[in-house]
Amino acid sequence: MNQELEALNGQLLDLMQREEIALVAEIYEKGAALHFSNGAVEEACFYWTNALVFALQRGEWERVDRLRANLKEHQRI
Amino acid sequence: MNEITSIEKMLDRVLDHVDRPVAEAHGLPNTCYTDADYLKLERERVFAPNWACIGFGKDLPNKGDYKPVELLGLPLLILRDQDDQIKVFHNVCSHRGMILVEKAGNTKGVLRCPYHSWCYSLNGELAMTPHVGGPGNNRHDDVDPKKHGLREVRSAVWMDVIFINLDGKAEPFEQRIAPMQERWKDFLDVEVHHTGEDSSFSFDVNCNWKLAVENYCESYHLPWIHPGLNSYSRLEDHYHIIENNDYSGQGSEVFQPLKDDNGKRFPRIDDIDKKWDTSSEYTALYPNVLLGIHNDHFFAIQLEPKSINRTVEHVELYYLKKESTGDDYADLRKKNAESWHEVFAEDIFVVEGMQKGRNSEGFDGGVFSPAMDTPTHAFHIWVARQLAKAA
Repeated sequence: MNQELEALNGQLLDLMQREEIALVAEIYEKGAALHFSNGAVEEACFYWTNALVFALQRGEWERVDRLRANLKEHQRI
Repeated sequence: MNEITSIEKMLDRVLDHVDRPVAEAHGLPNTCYTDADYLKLERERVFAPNWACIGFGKDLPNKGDYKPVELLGLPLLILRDQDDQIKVFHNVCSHRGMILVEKAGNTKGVLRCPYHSWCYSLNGELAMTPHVGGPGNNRHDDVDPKKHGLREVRSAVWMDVIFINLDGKAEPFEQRIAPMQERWKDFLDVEVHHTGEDSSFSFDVNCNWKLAVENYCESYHLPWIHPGLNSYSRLEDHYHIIENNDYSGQGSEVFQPLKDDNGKRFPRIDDIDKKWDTSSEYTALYPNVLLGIHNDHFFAIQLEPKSINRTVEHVELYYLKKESTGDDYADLRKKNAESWHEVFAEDIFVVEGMQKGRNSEGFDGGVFSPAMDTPTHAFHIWVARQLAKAA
């Protein structure tokens, strides 16, 4: 795992422990983009999924549409 | 004899002794106030088949607001959906039975179960099942989202009071409320206004919920328990209200509006029957909501049974004219809340005293005054018939 992903995961852990979910979807989406750019589609789908959950919870509908499109493209929803 | 058999035997006595003309009747036996096993039966036979109060719309003012509540240990979730409608669901995730919502909040999106993040839309549909088909795969042929939404509970809102029918088999709410609505038809089209904390208070009382109903129904205790109230609204100024075993209570013919030192009172609603110039009414809508109506304000008290001998009384005051909610009426609202707080607080020692008395071997239901206790007797009959219906 590269340093950027490690940092993102650290951030996520911290936010989740503090139950501050405002940025969680955004960070997961960034992580997904990193995985995808590395050709790791499985991991990207995993991150997109997690991003989608929190985007749905917060009603970030533009992000929801984008994430759903990605997951649909890879037949994960 | 096991507990259930003992309760079943008690039920026979309930029917035999309670559902008689008032002069011959006894009250519900002590078991109905002291036995925790009986309370389970009461949830099943008294609360579930009827329309019970679980809260107030004012606690969910905005679209997306949600609030967890309990009814006799049953976890429920009230929410206001995107169409501004109040809905009630069982507060449990369909996946592994995790409590979905632990505290009140607002969502602009879905409700997410904190365990495995299954997500539900505000109409209860299962919107997302992350990784259900393996990491990154969010569907599985054997998990059909259409089958696993939240379970909705039949609900209705009237005068901001939220009612539910747990078993889904009660008569339509419109039918249930019709007699009460007919009685108070002058207030039908009136919007009730709540002003937040200055119009809310509660009491945590060491008594069975039924004792709060029984005490509320009758005016007989006024001279001794509410001497202040009785000084201007005397016992002889009251009348009984009993309607088709739907509700009972009392009315006063000498309602006097609250005034401040300058004689200012809350604006009242006009164009209603002249009766309401001087009358106010107080009814217990069975099983667990107590109501009071006046030409300028209304209140509702949700009786939340916490255990067989503990009840929380949630008191909410509403004003019938929007003007009453303004800052210029803040002092009068405070005075009104203090006034009602004082009256209801005066009742605590009697309902707690009756609860203690229910542990006595020298009492098991007592008797009713045929002249003064008919509203209370009507409630006992109603409870007895609910128990009998399912027996």
